Amino acid sequence: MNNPAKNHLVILPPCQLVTSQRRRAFTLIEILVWVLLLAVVSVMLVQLFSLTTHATRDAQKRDTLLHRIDSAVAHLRKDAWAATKITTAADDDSSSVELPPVDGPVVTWRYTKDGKLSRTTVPPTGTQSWADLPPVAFSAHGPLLTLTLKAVNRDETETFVSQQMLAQKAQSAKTGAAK
Amino acid sequence: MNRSHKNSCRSRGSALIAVIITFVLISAAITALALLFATEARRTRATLAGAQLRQLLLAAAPSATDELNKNGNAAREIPVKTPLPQDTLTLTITPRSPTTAQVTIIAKTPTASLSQSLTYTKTATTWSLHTATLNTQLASN
Repeated sequence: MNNPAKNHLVILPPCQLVTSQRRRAFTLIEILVWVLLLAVVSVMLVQLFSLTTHATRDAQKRDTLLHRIDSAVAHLRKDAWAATKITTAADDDSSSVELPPVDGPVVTWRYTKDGKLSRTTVPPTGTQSWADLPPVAFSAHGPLLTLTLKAVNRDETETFVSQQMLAQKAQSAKTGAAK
Repeated sequence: MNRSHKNSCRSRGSALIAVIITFVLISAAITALALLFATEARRTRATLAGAQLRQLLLAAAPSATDELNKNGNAAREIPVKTPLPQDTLTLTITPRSPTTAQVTIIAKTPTASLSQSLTYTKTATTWSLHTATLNTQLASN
């Protein structure tokens, strides 16, 4: 009738019963450590998430900006290549360069303070523009046109050659030598 | 014993979620940075190739003028010697009229090619450059 093997609660000494019950819950220290660890991991994850989001957004922004700059540079290179004269001008609000070809409309590139680089022709055949660019400055040295992009970290320069002006120069040097 | 095992499983589950989230975030960051570096590398390579090709085109223009002055504007294709053996430079002369000619210069490196079109006019006995047009589309070979 009274079989101690069937009911282990009866046969366990009280000290063991208490120990067993205590093991079922967490101690205050355990909870505190767990909360602390959770906080640290959460902070790290939030930081990592923020960093990832920023890195992705910056990469996309930079990629778009580079595409825009490359597109403008390709057009400017073509215009400079065919230019018979390179005339630059700058004031407080803008920087510009005039590139007249032998035939066809005179091309003017202008950068305005609002970050817009535009290409216009006279007589007008349409305007192309590139927005949100870093500050741009033009300078000319003989048949070379230098475009300076004033980036935050450092200035980047791109030099364009006028094939037309180089050929003219070579031609006049040859004529001078022949004389 | 059973409950202790369950707690252990729960703890491992939380850790696993944290690890997965961290892994996903780090992967996304690395992918974004890798894409940025790849774009930069591609751009740098294209810039270098473009600069080299433009140098070749500029160097070929006096050869085109000399060729027209020596042999006239009869249609022909002339290979021009380049400093590097793997690069090629070709002049294609096309007569437009007895006093005008178009010369297309094609520069090729193992990775890219670029061309320009030059229009020449003849004044007295000399051919001189009238217009120069750079074909901005850099073709990858």
